[in-house]
Parts: sequence; structure tokens; C-alpha cells
Amino acid sequence: MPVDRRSDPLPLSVPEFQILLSLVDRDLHGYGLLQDIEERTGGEVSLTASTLYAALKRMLRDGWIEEVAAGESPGDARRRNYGLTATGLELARRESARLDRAAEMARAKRLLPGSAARSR
Amino acid sequence: MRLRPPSRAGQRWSVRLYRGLARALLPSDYRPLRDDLVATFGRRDQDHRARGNLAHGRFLAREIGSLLLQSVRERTGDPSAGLFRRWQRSLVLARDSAFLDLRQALSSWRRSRGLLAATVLTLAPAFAALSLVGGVLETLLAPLPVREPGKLVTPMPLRDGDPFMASMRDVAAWQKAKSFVAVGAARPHGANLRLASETRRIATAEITSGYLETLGVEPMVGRDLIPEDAGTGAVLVSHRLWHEALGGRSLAESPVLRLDGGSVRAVGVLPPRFALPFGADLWRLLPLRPDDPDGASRGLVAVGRLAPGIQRSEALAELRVLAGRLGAAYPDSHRDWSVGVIPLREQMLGDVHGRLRPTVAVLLLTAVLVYGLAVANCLFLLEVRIRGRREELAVRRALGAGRTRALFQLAASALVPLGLSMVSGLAVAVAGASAILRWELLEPLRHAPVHGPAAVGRLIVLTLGFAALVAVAQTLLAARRLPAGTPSRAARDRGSAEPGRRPGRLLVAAEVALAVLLLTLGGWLARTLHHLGTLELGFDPAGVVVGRIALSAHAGQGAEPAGERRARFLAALSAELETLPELDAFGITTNAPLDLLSSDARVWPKSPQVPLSEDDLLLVADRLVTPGALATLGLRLVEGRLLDTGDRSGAEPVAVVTADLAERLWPDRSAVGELVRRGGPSSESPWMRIVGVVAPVKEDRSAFRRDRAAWYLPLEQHPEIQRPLVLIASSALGPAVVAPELRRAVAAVSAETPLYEIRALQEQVDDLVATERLAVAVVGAFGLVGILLQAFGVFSVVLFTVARRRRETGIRLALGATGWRLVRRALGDTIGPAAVGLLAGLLGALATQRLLTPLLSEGAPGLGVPVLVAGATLLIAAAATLLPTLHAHRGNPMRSLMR
Repeated sequence: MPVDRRSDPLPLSVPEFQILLSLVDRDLHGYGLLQDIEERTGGEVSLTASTLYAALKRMLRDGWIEEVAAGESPGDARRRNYGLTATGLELARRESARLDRAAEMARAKRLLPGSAARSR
Repeated sequence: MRLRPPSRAGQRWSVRLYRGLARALLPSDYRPLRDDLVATFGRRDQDHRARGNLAHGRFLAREIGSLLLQSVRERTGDPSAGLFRRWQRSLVLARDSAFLDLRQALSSWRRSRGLLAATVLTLAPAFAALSLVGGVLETLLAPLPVREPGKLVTPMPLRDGDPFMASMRDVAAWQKAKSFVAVGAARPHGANLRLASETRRIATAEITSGYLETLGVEPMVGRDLIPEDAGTGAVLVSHRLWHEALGGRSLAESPVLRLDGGSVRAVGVLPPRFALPFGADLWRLLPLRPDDPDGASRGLVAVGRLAPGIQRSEALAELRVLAGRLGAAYPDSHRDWSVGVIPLREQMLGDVHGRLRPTVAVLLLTAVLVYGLAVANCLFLLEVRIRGRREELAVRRALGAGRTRALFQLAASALVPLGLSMVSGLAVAVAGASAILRWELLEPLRHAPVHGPAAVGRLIVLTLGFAALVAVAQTLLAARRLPAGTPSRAARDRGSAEPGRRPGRLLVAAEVALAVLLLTLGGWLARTLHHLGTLELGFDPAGVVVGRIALSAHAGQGAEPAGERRARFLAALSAELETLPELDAFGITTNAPLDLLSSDARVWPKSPQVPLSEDDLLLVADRLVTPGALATLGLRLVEGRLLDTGDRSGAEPVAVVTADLAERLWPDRSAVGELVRRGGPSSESPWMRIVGVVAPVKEDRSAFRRDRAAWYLPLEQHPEIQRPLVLIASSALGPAVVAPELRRAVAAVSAETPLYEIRALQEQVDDLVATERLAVAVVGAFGLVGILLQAFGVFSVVLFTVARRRRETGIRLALGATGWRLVRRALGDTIGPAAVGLLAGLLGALATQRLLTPLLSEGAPGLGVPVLVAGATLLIAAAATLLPTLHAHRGNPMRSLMR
């Protein structure tokens, strides 16, 4: 069943969540985002340029991220930098909490090692 | 001299493609982001391009596929891309009908198995030939591990057209040339590398500081060598050595390698597959000092990067001017020297005489000829088949089958023999590829990725490409021959179920032409090979085994002079070898005959019979030997004596020279007793007395096709000259048996001294004609296939003509025609076109003769071969005509009539 993403954005898609994560502590341009995501996930998540920009376009439209002044390479006029908005940060927090709850459940069922298993 | 940054011209096509697709496919609300998207793609494209073609291809496929999917999602507003599913359904439908067509084709071929076998036998060798040659070509043209290899050339000094290595003076002069943006040079060496468990001989090189920059190669780990590294023991190592000797360790603490008893520190690692020059594994810095006394000695391999817009010929013209200036500045070492410039690739292949290019051209030409023959045959067979099925196709069309549908059916029917031929041709090619790559000619390419699944994959792609060409030709032919779609036309078509006369004649002419061309080329090459095989070598390679000995520069007691240490080593080694019952004779030399690199010396006589001017430069192959070496090589004594154990240090210096030198200097009297010395007229080397003259010896590999004189001097009398040594031993048992014994003997004398590259001298001789042998073998094999295909083509044309005329023949015979008249008529049908083809083939052979010139020895391309070939081809054509004709007319004429 189709989901109306604007009224209820959670759960986020993998590209969306990874982009938000990358932008939490710094602004990045498109290439930097791809590299950061690949490095952080050890290559597990590797986005194509078009997937990245499809997500960026949606997130800009919905106000999760915004364009910021280019910082790293002022000489390249084509390059745009992206930064997190308050909405985006809030969404990233909520999605992280959701994933955390899901992970807790998995621990309780002993699918994952961790606190739930140890407390028994 | 700084080089330009790496060119980006090459990567633009993919970025341009992506930008075009993004513009065309993505909806307008992407516009503000589109340039940014393309820029990000461009950066990623650059990253993946650096990882090699395969990774880049995968990356492009993924990115473009993702862009397509994204555009479907955006335009349909359907995140699951349902349109793809609808496409999928149509694909399944198409697949099912194709499956049906194929099944029908299979069952129809089952009814004409003979025709199927004939088609497969025709096409398979062609696929094998083309794929094989494609594989070899791909190997030869494999990318070099350097940047823009097309711009790299190797200048080399020439003396009387003979190529030599460069001196520091040459390199310093070339560096000033405007034709180059950079010139570097390397001096090949060898060194003994001490590992934990063994001592291994590795190839090393000293390089000038601009060498790697000229090639466009940068260390992948660590740093490049800088001028301050000279004499500090800082080295670069190959990727392979980094892993094998240093375990891929970090270079932060400059790990130490034990080399020739000393130690060096690795400061950088060069990228995988880089091994210039001559398979080097370790590089150290060579300060360029042209004005040192050493500046004139020729031991460097130079490489230059052509300036933008400069052609090789322009660079050559400039270097010739510089050579003249060098001659004036250094008359002793550079007067009367010229210079040549060859592409780096040819230099790397050891192909200074440019024989590789014509070899490749001949291979390609023959493969294309065989392919042409096969395709011609195959199209004829298909024509026969289409005509045979005309009735059935006409009925189908009359019943409502569309033109496209009928064409699809014909194409599916052609797929069966095509597929079978591809599989069998490919199997032959894969088996043949490894055999062909074993040739010495291709040995320098051992670093190229030519083996393994990837190579087989490329062969499959090649074969598919060639098969696709045949399929297109067949479909075009089928489209022309497709019957009309009305029942009345279909009924009319029944009458003409045999192929016409014209295509048959054309086929015969074309096949004879191609076969004649193939066989003539093969014949000329075979004559050349025979000629080279009968050259007088001057030594007897039978049963002789050679192996290199590398005496470490620092082995043994450090204070002992190198000459004494060598003498002691050789005495101990001789004593050890004496005890081996397997050896008939043994000796030591500084160069085995026909080795890749040869040491030469300038020789000056004391009292020549022919007056010499100071400028006369007499070069000889310079060999220092132990007395046993000359006997082991089987040199033929013309007069005087060979060297013996009395020619030791302290005794009168002596020399044995080859007869060509003796005749050049003393044409009318004996050279024995004359005095010669090393160097020019002002040299101060001691005089040496000639004690013997031997028949001319082919010592010098690059002068193999000409003659260069040689001299043999007692090793013991020249302790000041240090060169790598070569152990030569003769034994009836062959290298496999002797090698371990020799290795054990050398190890018993010095554990730090490896004996390596042990091989039979006969192999060294055979290698020299490897290019010719390869060409002869391939062209010969293709020629054989070609003539079989030709015979088969003529045979099938005649067979179908006979079948077509069966009724007519029956009537003629019944009316009293003699068999002879009928045979004459059949011969007229084939011999006429065959004669036309013959003429065309001979003209073609004469036209391609120029292409072959560098490969052919003098006198080989005469008229004898073409005449022989013409006779043989006509005979085969006649036989292929007579057999089916006679067979057809032997029976009862009434039976022919009734059929």
C-alpha cells in the first residue's frame, strides 16, 4: 500500500537516513556524501549518483535539508553543499530512536548480543 | 621539466553520455540539481576509471541502469517501477516465440544433417582462427602500465644501422631536445636478493631522476626517488617484491632488504605490472654525469615523451642533428654515430627491427582471409537451404505468416549451425591460445593479463562479434530470398529450388583467389624460415646447457679484490664440476652466444695489412672465457690454437679472433701472431697476441641476420673487467638432468651465489626465428584450412550444379552425348572462374609482398612459390569438379531423367 511520506515520514529509506547521518556533524557536497556513506558503512551502502540526487531532491523539497554556502572549494561554482535543517535533525533523531527500539526487541529475542541478553 | 597533469580528454565521453541521458530522461524538476548530479558522477567516474577498465565498465552499467530506473520511477510516479514489469511480460512472450522458432529450426536441421555438418565444419575453423588472432592482437596491444604510451618512444644510438644502448652523453643531449617534454633513462642490472630461506636473483635498474616522470608512473605507496637519494641505499620496489620480500609492510620505517651482501631501504612501491626496463623489481637512483669518463659507455635504455603535436619522424630529425653535434663534441665516442627512434612498445618487445608489426599484420590478414572463405561458403550453403525451403516458406506466408515472422524463423534456423560452430571454434581457440602464447616472441608480455577466465571471456565476446556479422549477412540474404506472400507466386517459386549459376561462379572465383593469396604468403614465409634455419652459426648448440652466475659484489672477504675473488671462485667451481660424470665439457664465458644483451669492444690492430684511419671503428663481440668454453661451444678452429690453461694471469696476453675480423685486417696473410688491443688508436690497453682464428660465430643477437666479428680473451688475464658470468656445459643428458647437478656444484662453492636461467643453448637459437616460426605456423595452418575450404566450396558448387542439371544431363546422355563432353562442360563452369580467382590471388600476393618484406629473407619472394601454388590450386579445383561430375554420370541416364 502506498505511504504518504509527507504526513508520516518514518520509517526513512536507507538513502534518506544515511544522508541525514552524514550531514549531522558537517555540511557536504554530493560527492562527499557518497564517499562518507561508503566509508561509514564499509561499502555496505553504496549509492549511485542518481539515487542520491533523487533523495536529495525530495529532502530539499520537504525541508529536511538545505543548500548552504560552499565552504570547501569556492572555486567550483557547480558544486552545491548541503546541510541539515532542524526538521532533518529531528527526523534523524526519531529514526535513530525507532531503530534503537527495534534493535532492543531483537536483543530481547536473543537475535543480537547485548544488554537484554545479559540482564537475564 | 614538469609534465602536464593527466589528460581528462579520455573521461569526457562517459560524462557526456551521462549528462545527455540525465537531460533526456529526468523530469524538469531535476533541473536545479542536474549540473551537480553530473559533476558528482564525473568525480566518481574518475575514481573508477583509475581502478581499470573492468571496474569502470561495471560502474558505468550500474550508474546508467540506476538513472534509467530513476527516470521510470519519476515519470510514472510509481516507486516500484511497474512499467518494468509490463516490459518483462512482453519479453517473456518474445522469449517464448523465439523458443518455438528455435525448436522448429532444430527439428528441420535434423532432417538435413549433412548440410548442418558442412556448415559447422566451414564456420568453426574461421571462428577459431579469428578469435585466436584477436586474442594475440589483444595481448600485443594490451595497455602498458604507463600513461599515454602512444607518446612514449625509445631513442637509440645506431652504428651502421645496428642499434646500441644509449650513453649518459646521449641522454643529456636528448633532454635538451625540443621534441620531448621529458627524457629519462635506466640502466638494467641484476642483483642477488637474500630472503629468509633462499638467495634469489632479481632484475634491478638504476634510473635517472626523470625516468618515472617521463613514463607517467608514480609510486603507489611511499615516495619517488629524489636526487638526494643517490648513494644512500634508498630504492623503489615493485608491487610484487613489496609483497614477496616485505610482506606488504608499511614503508614508514623504510624496511631493509639484503641485496648483494649489502642492504638497501625501500622508500616507495611502484604500481602492479610496472616492470620497466626488462622486468625490473627494484630501482635505485642514477645521477646523470655526462662528462664523467663513464659518460660515454653505452648501457642505458632511454625513454622520451613526445611533446604535444610532435611526430616520431620530427623527433628523429631533431635527434639526428643532435647526434651530429655530439660527434663534434666527443669525437672519440660519438663520431659517425646516428640515432633511431622506435615506439616504446616495440622496444619492450625486444623488437628493434620492427618485425612484430608485419607479423601481426600477416596474422590478421590470414585470419580475415580464412574468415572470408568460410563466410562465402556458409552463405552459399544457406542460399541452398533457403531455396530448399522456399516452398514451405511460401505456404507459410500464404497462410498468413508475416514477413518479419518468416525472417525470424530463418534467422532462428541460421542460429543452429552458427551456435554449434561458435562452440567448437571457441574450444579450439581457447586450447590454441595458450599454445600460441608460449612463443618466445610473446614472452615480454608475460605481465599482460592474457590467461585465465577473463581472457576466455574476451575470446567469447570476440567470437560472438564475428558470429553476429555472419548472422547479419545471412539475414540480409534471407530477406532478399524470402518468397512472396501469395499462393500463386508461391506455386511459381516451386520451380526454382536450386541455386543459380552466378553465385556459384562468383564463389569459386573468390575462394580460389583467397586460397592462392593465403598459400603464397605461407610459402614465402616457409622459405624464409628454411633459409634462417640453414644459417651457419659457427658454434654447435646441440647438448649445450647455459646458466647465469651472479657473483655478489660483496660476497666473501670484503677486502679481497674482485678479480682475485673471481679467480678463486672459478678455480673452486672447476674442481667441483670436474667431478660431475654427466658433463662432457664445461667452461665460463661472459656472454652466451645470441644473448639478448651483448658486450662489445672497439679493437685496434698494431700493424694491419689494410691501412686504417683513426675514425675507423672496428667493433667485436667482446667475450672473456675460460679455456674450456671454446671447446664446449664447439667453435671450429681455422688456424693457430684455441685458448689453453697456459694463458693465465702473468703470461703474455692472447686472443682468439673470428675469421671475419682476421680477413678484414689481414686479407692476404695469416692473422696468427699479430697484435691487437682494446680501444682506439690512442688506447693504452696492453697489446694481445692473436694465437688462433676460428670460423665466424653468430655471437650477437641483434646482428644475427648479418655478421659481426668476435674475439675471445682469457678471463684470467682480465681481472679488471667485471661482468656477469655464464656457465656453459655440454652433456648428452639435457638441461632437465644437468641443471640440478650444476646448481648443486655452484652452491657447494658459494651458497650466496645462485645459478639461474638455466636453459639449452638450442632454445636460444630457436628463439631467434620465433617470429618467423610463429608466422609460418599460423599462416601454414590457415593456408591448409583455406585450401580445404576452397576445395569444399568448389565441391559444393559443383554438387549443386550437377543436381540442378540432372534432368538436362539425362536427356543429353539419352540423345547420345558422350561423358567427356559433359565433364568438359562442368570443368568450363569451374576452371574459368578459378582462373580469374587465381589471377586476382596472385596480384593480391604481389601487393602484400611489401608488407612482408621485413620478415622475408633475401630471395624468398620469388615466382617459384606462386607458380607452385597456382598449379596446386587449379588441380584441387579440377579434382573437386571431376569427382561429383563423374559420380553423377556413371549411372543409368534413364534413372537421372526419371528423377
